[in-house]
Amino acid sequence: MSEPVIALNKLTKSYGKHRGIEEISFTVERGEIFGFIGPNGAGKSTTIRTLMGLLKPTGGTASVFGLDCGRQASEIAKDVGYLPSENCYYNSMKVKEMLLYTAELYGVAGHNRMEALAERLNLDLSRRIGDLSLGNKKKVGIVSALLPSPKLLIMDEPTSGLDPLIQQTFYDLLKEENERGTTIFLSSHVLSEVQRLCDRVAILREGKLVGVQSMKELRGNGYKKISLTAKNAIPEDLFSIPGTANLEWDKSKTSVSFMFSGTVMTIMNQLHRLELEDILIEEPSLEEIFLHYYE
Amino acid sequence: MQIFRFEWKRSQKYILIWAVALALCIFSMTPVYYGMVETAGTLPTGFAQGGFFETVGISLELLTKPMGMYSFLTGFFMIAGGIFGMHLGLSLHTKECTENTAEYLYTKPCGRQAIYKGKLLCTLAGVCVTGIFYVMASFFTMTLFRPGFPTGEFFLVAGSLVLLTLFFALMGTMVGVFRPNNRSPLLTSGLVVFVEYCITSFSRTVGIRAIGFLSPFSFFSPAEIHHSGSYSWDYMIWYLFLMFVFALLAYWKILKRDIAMAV
Repeated sequence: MSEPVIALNKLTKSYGKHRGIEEISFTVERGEIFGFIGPNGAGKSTTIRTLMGLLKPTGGTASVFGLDCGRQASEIAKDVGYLPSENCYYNSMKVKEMLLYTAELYGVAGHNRMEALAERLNLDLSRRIGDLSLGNKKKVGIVSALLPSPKLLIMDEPTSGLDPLIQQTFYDLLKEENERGTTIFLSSHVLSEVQRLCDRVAILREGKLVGVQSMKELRGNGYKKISLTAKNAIPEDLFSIPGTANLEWDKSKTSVSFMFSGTVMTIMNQLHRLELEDILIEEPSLEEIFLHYYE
Repeated sequence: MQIFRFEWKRSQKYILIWAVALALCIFSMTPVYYGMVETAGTLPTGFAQGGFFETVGISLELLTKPMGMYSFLTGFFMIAGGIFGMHLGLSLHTKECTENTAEYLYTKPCGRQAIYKGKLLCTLAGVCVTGIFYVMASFFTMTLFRPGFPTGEFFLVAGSLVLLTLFFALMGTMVGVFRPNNRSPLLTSGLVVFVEYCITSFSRTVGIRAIGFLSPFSFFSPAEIHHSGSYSWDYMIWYLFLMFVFALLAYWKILKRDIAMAV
Protein backbone atom coordinates (compact mmCIF):
# COMPACT_ATOMS: atom_id res chain seq x y z
CA MET A 1 0.00 0.00 0.00
CA SER A 2 1.32 3.43 -0.88
CA GLU A 3 2.30 5.94 1.75
CA PRO A 4 -0.55 8.23 2.84
CA VAL A 5 -0.46 11.72 1.39
CA ILE A 6 -1.35 13.27 4.74
CA ALA A 7 -0.61 11.61 8.07
CA LEU A 8 -1.45 13.21 11.41
CA ASN A 9 -0.32 11.45 14.55
CA LYS A 10 -1.59 12.85 17.84
CA LEU A 11 -1.21 16.33 16.42
CA THR A 12 -1.67 18.94 19.13
CA LYS A 13 -1.56 22.70 18.96
CA SER A 14 -2.35 24.83 21.97
CA TYR A 15 -2.22 28.58 22.37
CA GLY A 16 -1.58 28.94 26.08
CA LYS A 17 -4.99 29.23 27.71
CA HIS A 18 -6.83 29.00 24.40
CA ARG A 19 -7.85 25.65 23.05
CA GLY A 20 -6.37 24.62 19.75
CA ILE A 21 -6.45 20.99 18.69
CA GLU A 22 -5.75 17.91 20.76
CA GLU A 23 -4.19 14.64 19.65
CA ILE A 24 -5.66 14.49 16.18
CA SER A 25 -4.74 11.39 14.20
CA PHE A 26 -5.87 10.34 10.75
CA THR A 27 -4.49 9.70 7.30
CA VAL A 28 -5.52 10.76 3.84
CA GLU A 29 -4.74 8.35 1.03
CA ARG A 30 -3.55 9.17 -2.45
CA GLY A 31 -6.35 10.15 -4.82
CA GLU A 32 -8.93 10.64 -2.09
CA ILE A 33 -11.28 13.55 -1.62
CA PHE A 34 -11.22 13.93 2.12
CA GLY A 35 -13.60 16.17 4.01
CA PHE A 36 -12.86 17.80 7.28
CA ILE A 37 -16.01 18.89 8.99
CA GLY A 38 -16.94 20.59 12.21
CA PRO A 39 -18.59 23.74 13.46
CA ASN A 40 -16.84 27.09 13.52
CA GLY A 41 -14.07 27.12 16.09
CA ALA A 42 -13.71 23.34 16.14
CA GLY A 43 -10.07 23.56 15.07
CA LYS A 44 -10.29 22.89 11.33
CA SER A 45 -8.26 25.91 10.31
CA THR A 46 -5.72 25.30 13.07
CA THR A 47 -5.18 21.77 11.77
CA ILE A 48 -4.84 23.00 8.21
CA ARG A 49 -2.46 25.82 9.16
CA THR A 50 -0.33 23.32 11.03
CA LEU A 51 -0.34 21.09 7.95
CA MET A 52 0.78 24.05 5.85
CA GLY A 53 3.66 24.80 8.22
CA LEU A 54 2.22 28.15 9.33
CA LEU A 55 1.84 26.93 12.90
CA LYS A 56 4.35 24.83 14.77
CA PRO A 57 2.72 21.88 16.55
CA THR A 58 3.05 21.70 20.33
CA GLY A 59 2.77 17.92 20.23
CA GLY A 60 2.52 14.99 17.84
CA THR A 61 3.50 14.99 14.21
CA ALA A 62 2.03 15.99 10.88
CA SER A 63 3.45 14.89 7.57
CA VAL A 64 2.56 15.42 3.93
CA PHE A 65 4.09 13.14 1.28
CA GLY A 66 6.13 11.66 4.14
CA LEU A 67 7.77 15.03 4.88
CA ASP A 68 7.51 16.77 8.23
CA CYS A 69 5.14 19.75 8.04
CA GLY A 70 7.11 21.84 10.50
CA ARG A 71 10.61 21.36 9.16
CA GLN A 72 10.03 20.70 5.47
CA ALA A 73 7.13 23.02 4.75
CA SER A 74 8.74 24.60 1.70
CA GLU A 75 9.47 21.19 0.16
CA ILE A 76 5.89 20.13 0.78
CA ALA A 77 4.51 23.38 -0.63
CA LYS A 78 5.96 22.60 -4.06
CA ASP A 79 3.25 19.99 -4.56
CA VAL A 80 0.45 21.61 -2.62
CA GLY A 81 -2.14 24.11 -3.77
CA TYR A 82 -3.61 25.93 -0.80
CA LEU A 83 -6.80 27.91 -0.51
CA PRO A 84 -7.08 29.67 2.85
CA SER A 85 -10.43 30.34 4.46
CA GLU A 86 -9.87 34.08 4.41
CA ASN A 87 -8.73 36.21 1.52
CA CYS A 88 -5.05 36.92 1.98
CA TYR A 89 -3.94 38.50 -1.26
CA TYR A 90 -2.14 41.72 -2.06
CA ASN A 91 -4.95 44.21 -2.51
CA SER A 92 -2.83 46.67 -4.46
CA MET A 93 -2.03 44.13 -7.18
CA LYS A 94 -4.07 43.28 -10.23
CA VAL A 95 -5.43 39.74 -10.37
CA LYS A 96 -3.17 38.83 -13.29
CA GLU A 97 -0.03 40.17 -11.58
CA MET A 98 -0.87 38.32 -8.41
CA LEU A 99 -1.50 35.02 -10.21
CA LEU A 100 1.67 35.33 -12.27
CA TYR A 101 3.56 36.00 -9.05
CA THR A 102 2.05 32.80 -7.65
CA ALA A 103 3.19 30.90 -10.74
CA GLU A 104 6.65 32.42 -10.36
CA LEU A 105 6.85 31.32 -6.72
CA TYR A 106 5.96 27.78 -7.79
CA GLY A 107 8.40 27.95 -10.68
CA VAL A 108 5.77 27.17 -13.29
CA ALA A 109 4.66 28.93 -16.46
CA GLY A 110 1.03 29.35 -15.55
CA HIS A 111 -0.18 31.82 -18.14
CA ASN A 112 -2.36 29.47 -20.18
CA ARG A 113 -3.74 27.64 -17.20
CA MET A 114 -4.47 30.93 -15.45
CA GLU A 115 -6.49 32.17 -18.41
CA ALA A 116 -8.35 28.89 -18.78
CA LEU A 117 -9.26 28.75 -15.09
CA ALA A 118 -10.21 32.43 -14.99
CA GLU A 119 -12.49 31.92 -17.96
CA ARG A 120 -14.25 28.98 -16.35
CA LEU A 121 -14.73 30.84 -13.10
CA ASN A 122 -15.66 34.06 -14.85
CA LEU A 123 -12.85 35.99 -13.19
CA ASP A 124 -11.70 39.32 -14.59
CA LEU A 125 -7.89 39.24 -14.57
CA SER A 126 -7.47 42.95 -15.20
CA ARG A 127 -9.07 44.16 -11.98
CA ARG A 128 -7.31 45.21 -8.83
CA ILE A 129 -7.74 42.66 -6.05
CA GLY A 130 -8.73 45.33 -3.53
CA ASP A 131 -11.69 46.28 -5.75
CA LEU A 132 -13.07 42.74 -5.98
CA SER A 133 -16.08 41.38 -4.13
CA LEU A 134 -15.67 38.61 -1.56
CA GLY A 135 -16.75 35.97 -4.06
CA ASN A 136 -14.34 37.20 -6.71
CA LYS A 137 -11.49 37.23 -4.21
CA LYS A 138 -12.36 33.63 -3.45
CA LYS A 139 -12.08 32.87 -7.17
CA VAL A 140 -8.59 34.40 -7.15
CA GLY A 141 -7.74 32.00 -4.33
CA ILE A 142 -9.14 29.03 -6.22
CA VAL A 143 -7.19 29.87 -9.38
CA SER A 144 -4.07 30.49 -7.30
CA ALA A 145 -4.42 27.07 -5.64
CA LEU A 146 -5.09 25.21 -8.89
CA LEU A 147 -2.52 27.11 -10.96
CA PRO A 148 0.56 24.96 -10.25
CA SER A 149 -1.39 21.71 -10.96
CA PRO A 150 -0.54 20.39 -7.50
CA LYS A 151 -0.56 16.77 -6.34
CA LEU A 152 -2.47 17.80 -3.24
CA LEU A 153 -5.11 20.50 -2.83
CA ILE A 154 -5.79 21.78 0.67
CA MET A 155 -8.84 23.99 0.83
CA ASP A 156 -10.25 25.65 3.89
CA GLU A 157 -13.94 26.55 3.48
CA PRO A 158 -13.57 26.76 -0.30
CA THR A 159 -17.06 27.80 -1.33
CA SER A 160 -17.82 30.52 1.20
CA GLY A 161 -18.81 33.60 -0.76
CA LEU A 162 -19.28 31.81 -4.10
CA ASP A 163 -22.61 31.98 -5.88
CA PRO A 164 -24.34 28.63 -6.65
CA LEU A 165 -23.42 28.71 -10.34
CA ILE A 166 -19.72 29.18 -9.63
CA GLN A 167 -19.94 26.61 -6.84
CA GLN A 168 -21.03 24.07 -9.43
CA THR A 169 -18.10 25.01 -11.68
CA PHE A 170 -15.82 24.70 -8.69
CA TYR A 171 -17.11 21.20 -7.90
CA ASP A 172 -16.56 20.22 -11.53
CA LEU A 173 -13.01 21.55 -11.38
CA LEU A 174 -12.32 19.57 -8.23
CA LYS A 175 -13.67 16.39 -9.76
CA GLU A 176 -11.52 16.91 -12.85
CA GLU A 177 -8.45 17.48 -10.72
CA ASN A 178 -9.25 14.40 -8.69
CA GLU A 179 -9.64 12.33 -11.84
CA ARG A 180 -6.15 13.47 -12.84
CA GLY A 181 -4.89 11.97 -9.58
CA THR A 182 -4.91 15.00 -7.30
CA THR A 183 -5.65 14.29 -3.67
CA ILE A 184 -8.07 16.80 -2.18
CA PHE A 185 -8.40 17.74 1.46
CA LEU A 186 -11.14 20.22 2.15
CA SER A 187 -12.66 21.59 5.28
CA SER A 188 -16.18 22.79 5.40
CA HIS A 189 -19.17 23.30 7.60
CA VAL A 190 -21.41 23.09 4.54
CA LEU A 191 -22.30 19.45 4.88
CA SER A 192 -24.06 19.13 1.56
CA GLU A 193 -20.76 20.09 -0.07
CA VAL A 194 -18.89 17.38 1.79
CA GLN A 195 -21.66 14.90 1.13
CA ARG A 196 -21.46 15.66 -2.54
CA LEU A 197 -17.69 15.55 -3.02
CA CYS A 198 -15.94 13.48 -0.40
CA ASP A 199 -14.95 9.86 -0.13
CA ARG A 200 -14.22 10.07 3.60
CA VAL A 201 -14.72 12.63 6.33
CA ALA A 202 -13.12 13.46 9.63
CA ILE A 203 -15.38 15.08 12.17
CA LEU A 204 -13.86 17.56 14.54
CA ARG A 205 -15.46 18.84 17.71
CA GLU A 206 -13.98 21.28 20.20
CA GLY A 207 -10.46 20.59 19.01
CA LYS A 208 -10.80 16.83 19.17
CA LEU A 209 -11.38 14.26 16.48
CA VAL A 210 -14.77 12.66 16.89
CA GLY A 211 -14.28 10.12 14.15
CA VAL A 212 -13.16 9.36 10.61
CA GLN A 213 -15.60 7.55 8.40
CA SER A 214 -16.17 6.92 4.75
CA MET A 215 -19.25 8.57 3.37
CA LYS A 216 -20.56 5.11 2.64
CA GLU A 217 -20.08 4.08 6.26
CA LEU A 218 -21.51 7.30 7.55
CA ARG A 219 -24.62 6.81 5.50
CA GLY A 220 -24.71 3.05 5.95
CA ASN A 221 -24.05 2.87 9.67
CA GLY A 222 -27.66 1.94 10.23
CA TYR A 223 -28.85 5.34 11.33
CA LYS A 224 -32.47 5.90 10.47
CA LYS A 225 -34.48 8.94 11.27
CA ILE A 226 -37.84 7.87 12.66
CA SER A 227 -40.74 10.24 13.16
CA LEU A 228 -44.04 8.88 14.45
CA THR A 229 -47.41 9.95 15.78
CA ALA A 230 -49.55 7.73 18.01
CA LYS A 231 -53.22 8.04 18.98
CA ASN A 232 -52.42 8.17 22.68
CA ALA A 233 -49.51 9.53 24.69
CA ILE A 234 -46.34 7.54 24.14
CA PRO A 235 -44.67 6.18 27.30
CA GLU A 236 -41.45 8.14 27.84
CA ASP A 237 -39.35 5.05 28.50
CA LEU A 238 -40.56 3.26 25.37
CA PHE A 239 -37.53 4.33 23.35
CA SER A 240 -34.97 4.14 26.15
CA ILE A 241 -33.27 1.37 24.26
CA PRO A 242 -29.71 1.08 22.97
CA GLY A 243 -29.16 2.79 19.60
CA THR A 244 -31.67 5.59 20.14
CA ALA A 245 -30.53 9.19 20.11
CA ASN A 246 -31.75 12.77 19.70
CA LEU A 247 -35.26 12.11 20.98
CA GLU A 248 -37.55 15.05 20.35
CA TRP A 249 -41.08 15.00 21.80
CA ASP A 250 -43.95 17.26 21.06
CA LYS A 251 -45.92 18.82 23.94
CA SER A 252 -48.76 16.29 23.90
CA LYS A 253 -46.28 13.40 23.95
CA THR A 254 -48.13 11.80 21.05
CA SER A 255 -45.39 12.57 18.51
CA VAL A 256 -41.70 11.82 18.70
CA SER A 257 -38.75 11.81 16.33
CA PHE A 258 -35.35 10.24 16.93
CA MET A 259 -32.30 8.67 15.35
CA PHE A 260 -31.98 4.91 15.59
CA SER A 261 -29.05 2.66 14.71
CA GLY A 262 -30.03 -0.74 16.20
CA THR A 263 -31.63 -3.80 14.62
CA VAL A 264 -34.94 -3.46 12.83
CA MET A 265 -36.64 -6.04 15.06
CA THR A 266 -35.75 -4.14 18.23
CA ILE A 267 -37.52 -1.01 17.06
CA MET A 268 -40.39 -2.94 15.51
CA ASN A 269 -41.07 -4.63 18.85
CA GLN A 270 -41.33 -1.22 20.50
CA LEU A 271 -43.48 0.24 17.75
CA HIS A 272 -45.78 -2.75 17.93
CA ARG A 273 -46.87 -1.61 21.39
CA LEU A 274 -48.25 1.64 20.02
CA GLU A 275 -51.41 2.46 18.17
CA LEU A 276 -49.74 4.37 15.39
CA GLU A 277 -51.39 7.11 13.35
CA ASP A 278 -48.41 7.93 11.19
CA ILE A 279 -44.80 6.86 10.83
CA LEU A 280 -41.93 8.07 8.67
CA ILE A 281 -38.66 6.13 8.52
CA GLU A 282 -36.02 7.87 6.41
CA GLU A 283 -32.31 8.07 5.85
CA PRO A 284 -30.96 11.04 7.80
CA SER A 285 -29.09 13.80 6.05
CA LEU A 286 -25.40 14.11 6.74
CA GLU A 287 -26.22 17.22 8.71
CA GLU A 288 -28.41 15.23 11.06
CA ILE A 289 -25.76 12.53 11.40
CA PHE A 290 -23.21 15.21 12.04
CA LEU A 291 -25.40 16.93 14.63
CA HIS A 292 -25.85 13.58 16.27
CA TYR A 293 -22.05 13.29 16.54
CA TYR A 294 -21.78 16.83 17.73
CA GLU A 295 -24.36 16.45 20.45
CA MET B 1 15.27 36.58 -5.80
CA GLN B 2 11.51 36.51 -6.53
CA ILE B 3 10.77 37.73 -3.03
CA PHE B 4 13.38 40.47 -3.30
CA ARG B 5 12.07 41.63 -6.66
CA PHE B 6 8.51 41.66 -5.37
CA GLU B 7 9.38 43.47 -2.15
CA TRP B 8 11.51 45.96 -4.05
CA LYS B 9 8.66 46.68 -6.43
CA ARG B 10 6.34 47.20 -3.48
CA SER B 11 8.75 49.49 -1.60
CA GLN B 12 10.67 51.32 -4.30
CA LYS B 13 8.40 54.36 -4.38
CA TYR B 14 8.64 54.75 -0.62
CA ILE B 15 12.43 54.31 -0.69
CA LEU B 16 12.88 56.79 -3.51
CA ILE B 17 10.73 59.41 -1.79
CA TRP B 18 12.88 59.16 1.34
CA ALA B 19 16.11 59.17 -0.70
CA VAL B 20 15.11 62.23 -2.71
CA ALA B 21 13.76 64.02 0.37
CA LEU B 22 17.00 63.51 2.31
CA ALA B 23 19.08 64.57 -0.68
CA LEU B 24 16.99 67.71 -1.24
CA CYS B 25 17.08 68.58 2.45
CA ILE B 26 20.86 68.42 2.72
CA PHE B 27 21.24 70.31 -0.55
CA SER B 28 18.85 73.09 0.39
CA MET B 29 19.73 73.43 4.07
CA THR B 30 23.51 73.30 3.94
CA PRO B 31 24.04 76.76 2.34
CA VAL B 32 21.48 78.29 4.71
CA TYR B 33 23.19 76.90 7.79
CA TYR B 34 26.67 77.72 6.50
CA GLY B 35 25.63 81.33 6.85
CA MET B 36 25.75 80.66 10.60
CA VAL B 37 29.40 79.63 10.43
CA GLU B 38 30.31 83.10 9.29
CA THR B 39 28.58 84.49 12.35
CA ALA B 40 29.53 81.75 14.81
CA GLY B 41 31.13 84.33 17.01
CA THR B 42 27.84 86.16 17.22
CA LEU B 43 25.84 83.12 18.36
CA PRO B 44 24.07 83.80 21.63
CA THR B 45 26.48 83.00 24.47
CA GLY B 46 24.13 80.56 26.16
CA PHE B 47 23.52 78.76 22.88
CA ALA B 48 27.21 78.49 22.05
CA GLN B 49 28.49 77.69 25.52
CA GLY B 50 25.55 75.87 26.98
CA GLY B 51 26.72 72.54 25.65
CA PHE B 52 24.06 72.38 22.92
CA PHE B 53 26.49 71.52 20.14
CA GLU B 54 28.28 68.96 22.30
CA THR B 55 24.99 67.06 22.75
CA VAL B 56 24.83 66.56 19.00
CA GLY B 57 28.49 65.55 18.82
CA ILE B 58 29.88 68.85 17.49
CA SER B 59 32.48 70.97 19.19
CA LEU B 60 32.50 74.74 18.71
CA GLU B 61 35.92 74.35 17.18
CA LEU B 62 34.55 71.95 14.57
CA LEU B 63 31.63 74.25 13.90
CA THR B 64 33.92 76.86 12.42
CA LYS B 65 35.63 74.34 10.13
CA PRO B 66 34.40 73.49 6.58
CA MET B 67 32.90 70.22 7.81
CA GLY B 68 31.30 71.73 10.90
CA MET B 69 27.88 72.76 9.80
CA TYR B 70 27.56 69.78 7.46
CA SER B 71 28.29 67.48 10.41
CA PHE B 72 25.75 69.36 12.51
CA LEU B 73 23.06 68.94 9.86
CA THR B 74 23.95 65.31 9.24
CA GLY B 75 23.52 64.74 12.98
CA PHE B 76 19.87 65.74 12.60
CA PHE B 77 19.31 63.94 9.33
CA MET B 78 20.56 60.83 11.08
CA ILE B 79 17.31 60.91 13.06
CA ALA B 80 15.36 60.93 9.79
CA GLY B 81 17.63 58.20 8.37
CA GLY B 82 17.11 56.11 11.49
CA ILE B 83 13.33 56.44 11.30
CA PHE B 84 13.39 55.55 7.61
CA GLY B 85 15.63 52.52 8.16
CA MET B 86 13.71 51.17 11.10
CA HIS B 87 10.34 51.75 9.47
CA LEU B 88 11.48 50.02 6.29
CA GLY B 89 12.86 46.97 8.11
CA LEU B 90 9.90 46.80 10.45
CA SER B 91 7.09 47.32 7.97
CA LEU B 92 8.38 44.77 5.46
CA HIS B 93 7.55 42.15 8.09
CA THR B 94 4.56 43.68 9.85
CA LYS B 95 2.58 44.41 6.71
CA GLU B 96 2.37 40.70 5.88
CA CYS B 97 0.44 40.35 9.11
CA THR B 98 -1.51 43.60 9.19
CA GLU B 99 -2.48 43.37 5.50
CA ASN B 100 -3.32 39.70 6.03
CA THR B 101 -1.02 38.38 3.29
CA ALA B 102 1.21 36.19 5.48
CA GLU B 103 -0.92 33.12 4.89
CA TYR B 104 -0.43 33.52 1.15
CA LEU B 105 3.31 34.13 1.19
CA TYR B 106 4.33 31.63 3.85
CA THR B 107 2.54 28.73 2.17
CA LYS B 108 4.51 29.04 -1.05
CA PRO B 109 7.49 26.84 -1.93
CA CYS B 110 10.06 29.59 -1.43
CA GLY B 111 10.21 28.91 2.31
CA ARG B 112 10.81 31.12 5.32
CA GLN B 113 14.56 31.35 4.76
CA ALA B 114 14.10 32.82 1.29
CA ILE B 115 11.39 35.18 2.54
CA TYR B 116 13.71 36.46 5.24
CA LYS B 117 16.61 36.84 2.83
CA GLY B 118 14.45 38.57 0.22
CA LYS B 119 13.08 41.06 2.71
CA LEU B 120 16.47 41.65 4.27
CA LEU B 121 17.99 42.22 0.86
CA CYS B 122 15.25 44.71 0.06
CA THR B 123 15.93 46.51 3.34
CA LEU B 124 19.66 46.64 2.61
CA ALA B 125 19.03 47.84 -0.94
CA GLY B 126 16.72 50.54 0.40
CA VAL B 127 19.37 51.71 2.85
CA CYS B 128 22.01 51.67 0.09
CA VAL B 129 19.88 53.70 -2.32
CA THR B 130 19.05 56.28 0.34
CA GLY B 131 22.68 56.36 1.42
CA ILE B 132 23.96 56.85 -2.12
CA PHE B 133 21.47 59.67 -2.72
CA TYR B 134 22.46 61.36 0.53
CA VAL B 135 26.23 61.01 0.07
CA MET B 136 26.07 62.18 -3.56
CA ALA B 137 23.85 65.15 -2.74
CA SER B 138 26.15 66.01 0.18
CA PHE B 139 29.26 65.77 -1.98
CA PHE B 140 27.70 67.94 -4.65
CA THR B 141 26.56 70.49 -2.07
CA MET B 142 29.94 70.65 -0.34
CA THR B 143 31.77 70.93 -3.63
CA LEU B 144 29.49 73.75 -4.58
CA PHE B 145 29.49 75.70 -1.33
CA ARG B 146 32.67 74.59 0.52
CA PRO B 147 35.25 73.51 -2.06
CA GLY B 148 38.42 72.16 -0.50
CA PHE B 149 36.68 70.28 2.32
CA PRO B 150 38.56 67.22 3.66
CA THR B 151 37.14 64.30 1.64
CA GLY B 152 38.23 61.57 4.09
CA GLU B 153 36.43 63.23 6.96
CA PHE B 154 33.48 63.99 4.70
CA PHE B 155 32.96 60.35 3.76
CA LEU B 156 33.22 59.28 7.39
CA VAL B 157 30.59 61.83 8.46
CA ALA B 158 28.30 61.16 5.49
CA GLY B 159 28.84 57.42 5.92
CA SER B 160 27.66 57.78 9.52
CA LEU B 161 24.14 58.38 8.28
CA VAL B 162 24.27 55.30 6.07
CA LEU B 163 25.67 53.09 8.83
CA LEU B 164 23.17 54.38 11.36
CA THR B 165 20.29 53.84 8.92
CA LEU B 166 21.55 50.30 8.42
CA PHE B 167 21.68 49.74 12.17
CA PHE B 168 18.07 50.83 12.63
CA ALA B 169 17.00 48.87 9.55
CA LEU B 170 18.31 45.67 11.11
CA MET B 171 16.81 46.59 14.45
CA GLY B 172 13.49 47.18 12.67
CA THR B 173 13.77 43.81 10.96
CA MET B 174 14.25 42.10 14.29
CA VAL B 175 11.38 43.97 15.94
CA GLY B 176 9.16 43.23 12.92
CA VAL B 177 9.89 39.52 13.10
CA PHE B 178 9.27 39.39 16.85
CA ARG B 179 6.18 41.63 16.79
CA PRO B 180 4.64 41.11 13.33
CA ASN B 181 1.23 42.38 14.41
CA ASN B 182 2.50 45.90 15.10
CA ARG B 183 -0.01 48.20 13.45
CA SER B 184 1.94 51.42 13.99
CA PRO B 185 5.42 50.76 12.59
CA LEU B 186 6.10 54.44 11.88
CA LEU B 187 5.18 55.51 15.39
CA THR B 188 7.29 52.69 16.84
CA SER B 189 10.23 53.69 14.66
CA GLY B 190 9.92 57.35 15.57
CA LEU B 191 9.75 56.62 19.28
CA VAL B 192 12.68 54.19 19.27
CA VAL B 193 14.91 56.53 17.26
CA PHE B 194 14.00 59.53 19.38
CA VAL B 195 14.70 57.65 22.63
CA GLU B 196 18.04 56.46 21.24
CA TYR B 197 18.90 60.02 20.23
CA CYS B 198 18.05 61.25 23.73
CA ILE B 199 20.26 58.55 25.27
CA THR B 200 23.21 59.79 23.24
CA SER B 201 22.51 63.43 24.15
CA PHE B 202 22.30 62.43 27.80
CA SER B 203 25.51 60.43 27.55
CA ARG B 204 27.32 63.42 26.05
CA THR B 205 25.81 65.87 28.54
CA VAL B 206 26.79 63.88 31.64
CA GLY B 207 30.06 62.84 30.02
CA ILE B 208 29.65 59.12 30.74
CA ARG B 209 30.83 57.38 27.60
CA ALA B 210 29.60 53.94 28.68
CA ILE B 211 25.98 55.12 28.36
CA GLY B 212 26.76 55.75 24.70
CA PHE B 213 26.91 52.00 24.10
CA LEU B 214 23.14 51.97 24.49
CA SER B 215 22.58 54.18 21.48
CA PRO B 216 23.98 53.98 17.92
CA PHE B 217 23.99 57.78 17.66
CA SER B 218 26.97 57.74 20.03
CA PHE B 219 28.95 55.53 17.69
CA PHE B 220 29.28 58.29 15.08
CA SER B 221 30.43 61.48 16.76
CA PRO B 222 31.55 64.10 14.21
CA ALA B 223 33.84 65.70 16.81
CA GLU B 224 35.60 62.39 17.35
CA ILE B 225 35.85 61.77 13.59
CA HIS B 226 37.34 65.26 13.19
CA HIS B 227 39.74 64.67 16.06
CA SER B 228 40.95 61.13 15.30
CA GLY B 229 40.13 60.79 11.60
CA SER B 230 38.21 57.56 12.15
CA TYR B 231 35.29 56.00 14.03
CA SER B 232 35.97 54.73 17.57
CA TRP B 233 37.04 51.11 17.28
CA ASP B 234 35.30 50.00 20.49
CA TYR B 235 32.03 51.48 19.35
CA MET B 236 32.50 49.89 15.92
CA ILE B 237 33.04 46.44 17.38
CA TRP B 238 29.91 46.87 19.49
CA TYR B 239 28.03 48.20 16.43
CA LEU B 240 28.98 45.17 14.34
CA PHE B 241 28.17 42.81 17.19
CA LEU B 242 24.70 44.30 17.69
CA MET B 243 23.95 44.18 13.96
CA PHE B 244 24.97 40.55 13.87
CA VAL B 245 22.77 39.80 16.89
CA PHE B 246 19.76 41.58 15.32
CA ALA B 247 20.11 39.72 12.04
CA LEU B 248 20.70 36.37 13.72
CA LEU B 249 17.86 36.69 16.22
CA ALA B 250 15.45 37.73 13.47
CA TYR B 251 16.53 34.76 11.33
CA TRP B 252 16.18 32.32 14.22
CA LYS B 253 12.78 33.68 15.16
CA ILE B 254 11.35 33.67 11.65
CA LEU B 255 12.21 30.00 11.27
CA LYS B 256 10.65 29.07 14.61
CA ARG B 257 7.62 31.25 15.06
CA ASP B 258 3.99 30.68 14.22
CA ILE B 259 2.90 32.88 11.37
CA ALA B 260 0.57 35.43 12.90
CA MET B 261 -2.72 36.18 11.17
CA ALA B 262 -4.30 39.60 11.15
CA VAL B 263 -6.47 40.23 14.19
